[in-house]
Amino acid sequence: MNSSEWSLLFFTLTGQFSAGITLALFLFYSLNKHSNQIKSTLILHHGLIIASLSIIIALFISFLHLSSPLSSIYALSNLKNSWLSREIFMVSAYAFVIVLATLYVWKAKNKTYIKSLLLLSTLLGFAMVYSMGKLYMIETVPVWNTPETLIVFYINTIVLGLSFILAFYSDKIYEKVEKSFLIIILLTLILKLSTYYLSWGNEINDNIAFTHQHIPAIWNILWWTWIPGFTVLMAMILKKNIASKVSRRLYYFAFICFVIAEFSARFIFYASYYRIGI
Amino acid sequence: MAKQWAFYFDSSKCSGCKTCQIACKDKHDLPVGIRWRNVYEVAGGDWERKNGNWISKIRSYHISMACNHCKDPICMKNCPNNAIYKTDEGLVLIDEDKCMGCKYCQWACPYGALHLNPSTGKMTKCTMCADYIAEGKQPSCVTACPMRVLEFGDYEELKQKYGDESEIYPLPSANYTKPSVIIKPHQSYKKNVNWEIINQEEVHNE
Repeated sequence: MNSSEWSLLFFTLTGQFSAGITLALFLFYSLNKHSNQIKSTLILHHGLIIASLSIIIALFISFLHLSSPLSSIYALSNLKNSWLSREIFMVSAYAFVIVLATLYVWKAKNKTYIKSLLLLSTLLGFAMVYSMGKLYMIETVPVWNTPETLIVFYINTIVLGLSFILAFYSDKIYEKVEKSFLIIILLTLILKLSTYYLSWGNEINDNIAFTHQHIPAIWNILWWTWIPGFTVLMAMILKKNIASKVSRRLYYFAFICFVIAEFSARFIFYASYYRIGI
Repeated sequence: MAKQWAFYFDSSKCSGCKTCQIACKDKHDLPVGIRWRNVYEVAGGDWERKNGNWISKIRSYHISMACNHCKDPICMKNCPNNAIYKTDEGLVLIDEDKCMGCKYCQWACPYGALHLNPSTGKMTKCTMCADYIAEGKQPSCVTACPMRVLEFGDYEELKQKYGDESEIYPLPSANYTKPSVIIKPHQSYKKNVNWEIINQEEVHNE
């Protein structure tokens, strides 16, 4: 992987983590109708601050891979053709709305529009992840130009966002919400396993002069660390009456497993770059 | 039809001396590590046993390649800043003031034509010596070639003269970008041979 791509790795992971938290908050707010109001407000406050900070940090990191960041003032000039232009637009729009939602939750006395703001943030977050994926689907880069790129970006978004809320706020959320989050994460991870074994029909009938760099085996091993996390979550859904202290520790463990797995998956993604031709 | 300047390259006569590479570097005062034109050394084939003797069927040839000023440039389509543009004469050029050095164009170009200049933080590429063309002269690589295997002219005229081959190894299908280049393959060139670039360490610097 080239050195400049490290910043892209952190940018995409952090940006998608932010969109995942927004999704989790929207789901939480939609499903959590009967729980303690104080606890709900706390999760909303904390979650929105973390989502806002994450996207602001992601935006800052995104500048690090630019060799002439001052010229980024022209970055929206080619919305018609360039997915990178569209991505920059979507990241900015998402960041604006999520920061707006955060300020609204903190400042407004009557939170009438919070659900609409969360829905809008979630939709913008998903559109942002879509544009992030599409920009890598370059016609001349066969390893990225498959639906798998979009799928793995959405998997990262859902798994990191929802497992984060479970890890840090499981004792404050209603059981129904907790179960829903668990089911969504487990289904997403099953999709992750399926995509690993699926062939995307990207057989190349063209000249390729340079193949991708050697990827050290450790990254492929780390990719599988989501399996212990998956096992723990399966146990959580099947077992009853687990002490909240224990369940929180298990959720922490699962979240850490997912972070390591997603980080290594993203490393492999960037390191596997090669293109058609020379 | 709009004018489209193009290169013609005769691989059958190229000796791989790399004078074109040096002439380009010299003309544009390119820093160490950046070459807008590269000479790829390609080899393939195998040894075959015939009547108890091993006979070499190893073949090699050279490809001199710079930006092909494509008719449908993928670098230009992908550039978020509209920093890459096409002139009326078909040259694909970079507006350095607009370039932010994101290297997205470099990812996409199947001819390895775009290079980041670390000292300026801007992407750079072959300009086909646009200043020379304006003066009615030929690009420096063309005039420097001692074997006269590089030619420069209007794409349609070159096509009428030499045909439209542009897909020999290691070049991609012309469908992606419609490159303004015509190549006469080396006599030993055949498809479906295990060709590979043998000076990879020299030419692959990304």
